[in-house]
Amino acid sequence: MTKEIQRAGIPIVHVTNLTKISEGIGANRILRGNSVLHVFGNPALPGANEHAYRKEMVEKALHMLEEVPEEGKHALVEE
Amino acid sequence: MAEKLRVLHYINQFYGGIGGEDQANVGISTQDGPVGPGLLMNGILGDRGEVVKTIICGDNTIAENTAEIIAQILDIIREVNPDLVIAGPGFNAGRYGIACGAVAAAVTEELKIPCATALYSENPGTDIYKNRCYIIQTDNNARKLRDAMKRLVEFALRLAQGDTIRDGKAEGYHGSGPAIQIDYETPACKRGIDMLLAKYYGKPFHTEVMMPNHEEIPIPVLDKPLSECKIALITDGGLVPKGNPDKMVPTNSKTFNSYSIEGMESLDANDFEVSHQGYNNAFVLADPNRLVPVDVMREEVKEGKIGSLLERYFTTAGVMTPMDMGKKFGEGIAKLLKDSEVDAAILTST
Repeated sequence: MTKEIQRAGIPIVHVTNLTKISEGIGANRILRGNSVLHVFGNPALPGANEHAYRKEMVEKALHMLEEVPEEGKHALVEE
Repeated sequence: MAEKLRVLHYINQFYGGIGGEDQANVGISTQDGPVGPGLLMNGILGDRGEVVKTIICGDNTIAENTAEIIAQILDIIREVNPDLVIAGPGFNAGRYGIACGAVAAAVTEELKIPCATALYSENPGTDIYKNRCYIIQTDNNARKLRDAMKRLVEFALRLAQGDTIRDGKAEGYHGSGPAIQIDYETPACKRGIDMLLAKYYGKPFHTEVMMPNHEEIPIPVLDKPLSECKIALITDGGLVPKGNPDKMVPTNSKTFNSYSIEGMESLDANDFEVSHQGYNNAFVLADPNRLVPVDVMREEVKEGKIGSLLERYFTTAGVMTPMDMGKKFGEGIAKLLKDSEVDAAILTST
């Protein structure tokens, strides 16, 4: 799905724990999620802290959308 | 190498020196020895091989009567009985590319003679034949003939020698290459152990499972600041409104759906459920924002960090769903994103 959205010229960040699969398929902006079970969450943290954690992560994803890749680079990956 | 390999080369009327478009209707002709780019091929082969025959055919002739012309070409190749067949390179030439692919696929599948060609990724021949024969990746420009020919010849020589051929990404060919021939007379456990031992001793071996070769797409870039962008949220984690109104299946998906988040400051656990059979949904059920982070995205809009959030999210269950289906979903979602003037997206995968 990510690739076809890329192909349409829309920047997209794929947030997943399985970054190697994502990279292998050809997604080009990839952010490692917290877990397969809660990509943008961290249930180990108390409520307010989890919210702050999510906010930080979403902002990381947003920042990745803004990034302009260097010439010849095929993928931007944040592990 | 003990003996020179006998190589047969297929080219079109242009490379064959017959003429350009005005001669594209000429029929098949053959010449002993190399012609045109075959001379370069012969040089690269050196004492490892020799172009013994060149088949030349007009691009229109083969494109318009592919089945009939291919049958005639196969007859000629049978008679010559070469050790190796090379077609092209055809770069980005459409009809020539289809001809090269058709020849390579037919030789590979019907004559079972080692064979390769070389084309540009967007050549129509690449898409049609990349999973039926070896098509080495080239530039779109024939000025790179020397480089393309060198890689094509070196690869073809290894193929002819029965060397281990790895996946397309490692070897630089398009798609997954020809269908793998498996000798089912030998039990799978023996084939597996033979392969492992061959690998251990550094001998050639042939995998039975070729990984698909995914083409690379240039990275799209935002054309305005994030603070002016409309962002969409997408997930393959199967999040649906309570009651699963469209009965979205939890596995082997055939559709994606999109649901309104209008008026929601955050996703309320009471309003959503998960239709996805591939992960433990408990954490997402407890707080759906962990999968589709509407709560934080609303704050980002308020703080002026992003322009706006699309008032719907897209969802499917990405479990046991074939790649082609995912491609279809992606195309469908991309179109809807464009229609809604979305600038960028975040997709979460469980």
